[in-house]
Amino acid sequence: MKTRLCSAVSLILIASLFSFTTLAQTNTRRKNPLINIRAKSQKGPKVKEKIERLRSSHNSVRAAFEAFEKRGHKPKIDDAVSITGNVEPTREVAYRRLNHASQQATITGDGIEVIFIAVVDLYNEWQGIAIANFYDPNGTLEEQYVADVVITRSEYSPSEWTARFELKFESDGIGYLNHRPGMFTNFNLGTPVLQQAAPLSLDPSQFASTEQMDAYYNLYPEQALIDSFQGGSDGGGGILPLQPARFATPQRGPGAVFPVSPWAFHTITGWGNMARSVGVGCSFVAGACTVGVLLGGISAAGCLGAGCTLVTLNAARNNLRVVRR
Amino acid sequence: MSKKKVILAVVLPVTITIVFAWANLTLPLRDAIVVCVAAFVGSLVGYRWKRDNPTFGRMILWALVVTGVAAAMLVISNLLASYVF
Repeated sequence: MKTRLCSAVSLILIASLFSFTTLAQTNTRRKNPLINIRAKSQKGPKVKEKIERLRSSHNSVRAAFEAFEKRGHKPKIDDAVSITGNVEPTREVAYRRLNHASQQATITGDGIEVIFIAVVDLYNEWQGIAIANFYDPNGTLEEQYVADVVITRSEYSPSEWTARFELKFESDGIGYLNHRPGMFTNFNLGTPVLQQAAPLSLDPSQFASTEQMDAYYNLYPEQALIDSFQGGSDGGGGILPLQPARFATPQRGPGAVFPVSPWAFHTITGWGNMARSVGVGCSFVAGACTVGVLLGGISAAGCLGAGCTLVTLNAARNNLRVVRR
Repeated sequence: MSKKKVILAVVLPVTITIVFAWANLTLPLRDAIVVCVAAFVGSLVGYRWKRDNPTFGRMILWALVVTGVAAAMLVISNLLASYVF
């Protein structure tokens, strides 16, 4: 009787665990927001032709090209990439429209085309022109974004890129600097980051008015910290606070020579998450094993050894990934 | 089985559960299944090591008891983490 009772209680506890966690997961599951987006990329003569057409008809595109060309750098139009995407409205979106509810900010118009034209293309740095065209359902150009941008790769997370300089051109061909703390304020476009002393500090003359300056510093108080870096005796700003990336890493051009070992360009990530999973899992197993030991039934070494081995193998399978450096 | 051991067997998992729940360390279903399987296999091995000629039925029983405790710890810590802390 006692044995049957123990078995029944154990089975009920295990079953309750699975039903509880299943319910918890069902409630938190979300729909994939990209499910209705169809995208394709294009490269070659057609893209080149399109860029030439845009350049001849839009002042903003022309000015974006000139910003590089007047410094002696030629945008690589032949290698330009165009990415187009369309959003297909779902029933849910249509229902929301009927109810005049607010729409998601990402659904702007019916389609979007983004063109990237590289000028400087290094492993950890990209400089070039970005053109984004937003179209309505009839295919008419609704809005356009044209900018010269500088982005750098994170030293710690190779898939993470951050904008360091953004010069946005309006339809009249005038460029406006979009700035956040940590971005360059006076950048020589076309020249790699390490070859120039681009300041991160802001000068009062860079604001149209004192009110604008006050508003900026109120919005981004951390900019004052960056400005204080400039006060050295040698004068001039620097790129010290940025620490962009390991620019000494070999570039991946067509002529690049790869070393024999694949680990020169690859590394294993996820050790922290694995350690966490092992810690949590082994602690639970240890708790369960301790109960068994205290009740006098099982060996601690055997229980912990087998249990923790399983937990560790599973944690490694789930968390460790081989990624590019 | 002494009263002291029984108390320890209750106090210890409850303490671990509360600490884990307080640290908000909840486990998703897949990890919870793995932990329970690990506890089950671990207790099977542990029981086999302790006894010379264990019967299959008693091995399974002990493994179920230990797995049940692990499952209870997970349920309680998940509930505490979600609703209390």
